[in-house]
Amino acid sequence: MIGLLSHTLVGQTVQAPATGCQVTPGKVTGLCQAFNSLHIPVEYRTILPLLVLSIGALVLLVISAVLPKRSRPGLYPLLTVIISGLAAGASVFQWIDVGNHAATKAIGNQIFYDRFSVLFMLLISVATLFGALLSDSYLQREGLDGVEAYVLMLLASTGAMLMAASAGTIMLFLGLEIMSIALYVMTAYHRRRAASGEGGLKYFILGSFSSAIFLYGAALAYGATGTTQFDEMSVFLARTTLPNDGILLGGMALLIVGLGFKVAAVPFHFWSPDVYEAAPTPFTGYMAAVAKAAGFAGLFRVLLEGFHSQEANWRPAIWLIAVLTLLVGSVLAIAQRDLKRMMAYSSISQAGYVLIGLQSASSQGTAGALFYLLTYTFIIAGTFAVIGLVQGEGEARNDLGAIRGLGRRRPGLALVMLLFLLAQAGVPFTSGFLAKFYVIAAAVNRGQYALAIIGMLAAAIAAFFYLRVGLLMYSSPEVDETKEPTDGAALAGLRPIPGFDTPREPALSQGPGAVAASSDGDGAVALLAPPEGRVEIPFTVGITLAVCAAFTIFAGVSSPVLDFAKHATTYF
Amino acid sequence: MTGDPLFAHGLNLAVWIILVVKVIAVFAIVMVSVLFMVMYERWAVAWLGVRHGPNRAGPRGSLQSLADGVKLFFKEAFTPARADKVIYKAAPYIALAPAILAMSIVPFGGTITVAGHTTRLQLVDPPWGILFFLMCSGVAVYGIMLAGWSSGAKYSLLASVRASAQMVSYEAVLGLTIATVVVVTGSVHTSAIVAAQHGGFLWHWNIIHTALIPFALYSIAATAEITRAPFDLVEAEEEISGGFNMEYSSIGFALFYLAEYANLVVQAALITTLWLGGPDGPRIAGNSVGPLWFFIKVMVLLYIFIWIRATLPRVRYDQLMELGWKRLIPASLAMLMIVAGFQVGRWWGLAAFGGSLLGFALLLRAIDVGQDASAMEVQISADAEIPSGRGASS
Amino acid sequence: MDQYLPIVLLLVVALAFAAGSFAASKLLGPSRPTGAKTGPYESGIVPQAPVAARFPVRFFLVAMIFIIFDIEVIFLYPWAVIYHQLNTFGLAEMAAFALVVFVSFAYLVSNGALDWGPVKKLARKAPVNLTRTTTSTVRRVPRPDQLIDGMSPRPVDSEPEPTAEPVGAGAPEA
Repeated sequence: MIGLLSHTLVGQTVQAPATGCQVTPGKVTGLCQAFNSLHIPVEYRTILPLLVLSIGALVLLVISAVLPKRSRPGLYPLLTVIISGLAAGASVFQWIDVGNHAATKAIGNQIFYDRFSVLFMLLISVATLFGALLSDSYLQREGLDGVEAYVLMLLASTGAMLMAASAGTIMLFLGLEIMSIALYVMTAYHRRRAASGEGGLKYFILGSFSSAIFLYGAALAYGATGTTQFDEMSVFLARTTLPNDGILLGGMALLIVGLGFKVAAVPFHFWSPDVYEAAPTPFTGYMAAVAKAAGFAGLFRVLLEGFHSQEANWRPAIWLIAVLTLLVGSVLAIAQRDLKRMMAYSSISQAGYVLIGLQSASSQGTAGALFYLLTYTFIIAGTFAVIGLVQGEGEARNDLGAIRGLGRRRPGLALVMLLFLLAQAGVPFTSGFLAKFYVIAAAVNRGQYALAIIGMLAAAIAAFFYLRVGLLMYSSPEVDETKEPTDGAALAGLRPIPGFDTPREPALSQGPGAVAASSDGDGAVALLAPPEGRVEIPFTVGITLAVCAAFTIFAGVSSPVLDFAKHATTYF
Repeated sequence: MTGDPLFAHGLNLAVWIILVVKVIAVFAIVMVSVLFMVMYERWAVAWLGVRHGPNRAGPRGSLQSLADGVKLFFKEAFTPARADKVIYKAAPYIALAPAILAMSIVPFGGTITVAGHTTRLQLVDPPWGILFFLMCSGVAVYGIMLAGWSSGAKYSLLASVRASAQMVSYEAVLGLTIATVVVVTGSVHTSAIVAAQHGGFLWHWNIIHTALIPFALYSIAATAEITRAPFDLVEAEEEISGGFNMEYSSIGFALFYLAEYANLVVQAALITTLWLGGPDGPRIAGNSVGPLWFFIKVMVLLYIFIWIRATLPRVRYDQLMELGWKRLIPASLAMLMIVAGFQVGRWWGLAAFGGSLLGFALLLRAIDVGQDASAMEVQISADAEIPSGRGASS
Repeated sequence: MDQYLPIVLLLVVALAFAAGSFAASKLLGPSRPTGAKTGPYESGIVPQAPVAARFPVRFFLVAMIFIIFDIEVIFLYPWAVIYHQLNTFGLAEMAAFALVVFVSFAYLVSNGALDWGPVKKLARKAPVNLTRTTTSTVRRVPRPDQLIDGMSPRPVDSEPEPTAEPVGAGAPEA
């Protein structure tokens, strides 16, 4: 990581110090370049969380190289928790540090050291911490435990942090790739599930495609503005009127497409349900939080900093994407019978609200979006923690039936799950309500009434399928196939909508649950009874659930978290 | 940084003539040295094995290799029925061209003035320098790989897969050790590398400046890179009955043979350039005799290559890969850091040395853990039910 | 440009030499291909199956690991050229880079990714078959004077009766 950073440094045109020799692009002699690179102050504190995570990943690899394989279960997750905790501590230090000093550009102007990036570093550290906590019991249950999962998680977080802190398209791309490649492997991590490998391959192919699109967009933007740095780009565009801005607009569009893919905005969302279903459940939760946060960080950097003066051009595009994302995500989630696929569409729809915040292009909208991402991290980690518990060994039961009757079997767990569902639906006194409120308020303040109404409409549609899961949890666990379905499942119309989303073929979703999902003849879906065994809550998962639930309520009834997000909107 | 003084005044007819003569000369040097090398090897191996060696064609059999070459022109050249025709035909070109091209960056020493035009005894001194050689050895892999693959025969294919794995493995060692030389001399130009070693027989040579070990690593890796004994797994007669060029007859075979020996000569010349001071050596009777010293050094190196071939038995494939990956690559990486450390200061060098020792300990432990992991894997696959009809052999 | 020209000329000469050799061989050599000649050579055995299309995955693994090291080497050269100017800064940066590569290399080795051939630890522990001795495994070919007319040569140390023990402990039931 350090090496990579330094390699991108050498070769960049850097501002020569007063005593240094002047560097002109294209005429960089080796000596002059070397001389200047010596004078680059590598302010390690500006990338402290990144360093903690990447060095932590190396330490994990070294430990795994000297310990016999499969000898210490629990050691790697423990270390990962410590490392991500340290990273979170480091970002808290940075938060204070940026408050004391002004926000700066660092390390050869490649890194923005501002509260925006520090907020994301904190968010990503926390998500990594949850990811490690949830992965431990899951991986041991599936017999997959090993150092790889945790190293990949740390590296993906490193990449995500780099994206959030990037001051130019080059660093953004570097972070994007570091994160994505680790995520591809994590998706395919469950070796014995065919769906996992399939999803990983899909993600890899589509992901590399979108990376290429992003890179092409970066190249075009460079061609139009002559710089890869966001701030220089913005200065150039504010000062210059391009007589022919086709290249600029093309580059901007491709950058939006590339990053839109990472945040799974419609119409670039097609990978998302498959990948969410394929990835091991704790990784899905991690991915939903981190990949989305990093992708949005990139979008904010590109659009609000780089193309700030081009608002008139990109806001309509984001308007359209936001509307599509909100509606398609909410509507298609209703049609899902698989918990993880449903959550995938749900998270697509949630991305729509962040896009509303982005579309308003104001500090209020940014604050709302940041608050949204921050709270969503906790909500999604908790939701996938519950799903990971009820699905049973080998991810046998991912269908909605698995969660049926949870209210009787584990009332506490069901209550927590209900809280997360209500928060996602945007019910007052949860963080989800405030999050939706702030982004929609930002849209209203910018006069985007249509967008605000569509947002509220989508929330109403989405509430439908969140509440359906809630009803299922508190409905009777017995199954009566002869009776006309009158319970929650039937009310919700659990039938596939033809042409919208083909249900997964039974061959791919292994386990007994798959049979029931496809055996109905005339529309009424028979939900198989949930597994008999008691749902055990491992200690690590319990802690995560408690923290996530507490935060969801805390952020929903008081304002410090929002203030936190508001502080982070002051860019460099 | 400056190129050849030959081009200082643009391209006129005289320059063109000198250029063409130089090109032909380099080509002739490679060809003649290959013919000579074949003879040299046969004599030396015979001598080491207390045999007569070739003694019929010409005086003491000195025309034997030429006779062999001429003979091959009169042999039937046919294309195997299962071969991929185009690639099968193209492979000898791909094998031969890089072997000859690599010779173009070797400085033979000094300059020469012809008809008022001064030129170096070196065909070309490009800015990318020694990287050109790495490029050539990278392309050489394709020649062997494509030849084996396009032949459409099992043994050829096995040999080509072996060859590509072997050559790329040792290419990493070559790259790392040459980087050590570049660290010391601060340039990738072969002429600058030679100039940096000038003066003081042996004492200024890179072999001393880099503390001998990178030289040893490079020589081992070079032997493997040109698939020379004891690393000639590519043409292991007992296992794959002749290897990648088995399906080639007549001149196709001759070109591979030529490329093989050309590679050997080029490697000897490059070892001389990189590590042994190139044409550096004491003056004889007040005259600078660079080319002579160069020739002597190459001769000695070639003899050592032959000596090794006559002495050591062929290694097994697993030994070959273990040597390359688990010994040479880490060792060359460590030596690079140590040499770089000592370039900065003694304490930095010692720190790099200490770090390398730590790394060495880590690697030893990792190898042990790795063998446990492999053993566990074998145990698991032995315990697992193997469905009938599917072979369990690897 | 002047740096490319000699290389291009030499390449042309080399290719022309190869092409000329092929042409000469075509003129001078005979051309009488037969099925036996053009068939693949498998030490005299008529090939039955087509050439295998699949290879042990280790070769692919080596190819991938090679890419990592080759990329490291690519990064090394620009660094090495300006190393004397970079000084300790260069040393520290490259040490960090080499450390990252080395740690992942150690991880690979510790997973047995670069193990070839029989597992050494198992081979060392493998039980020794005491029934296999030189007398049981080495087949003795009879001298011509020991051959009985009309009989195929068979080992002298086996019993003449047809109910004799099969020679060698490597027999199928062992």
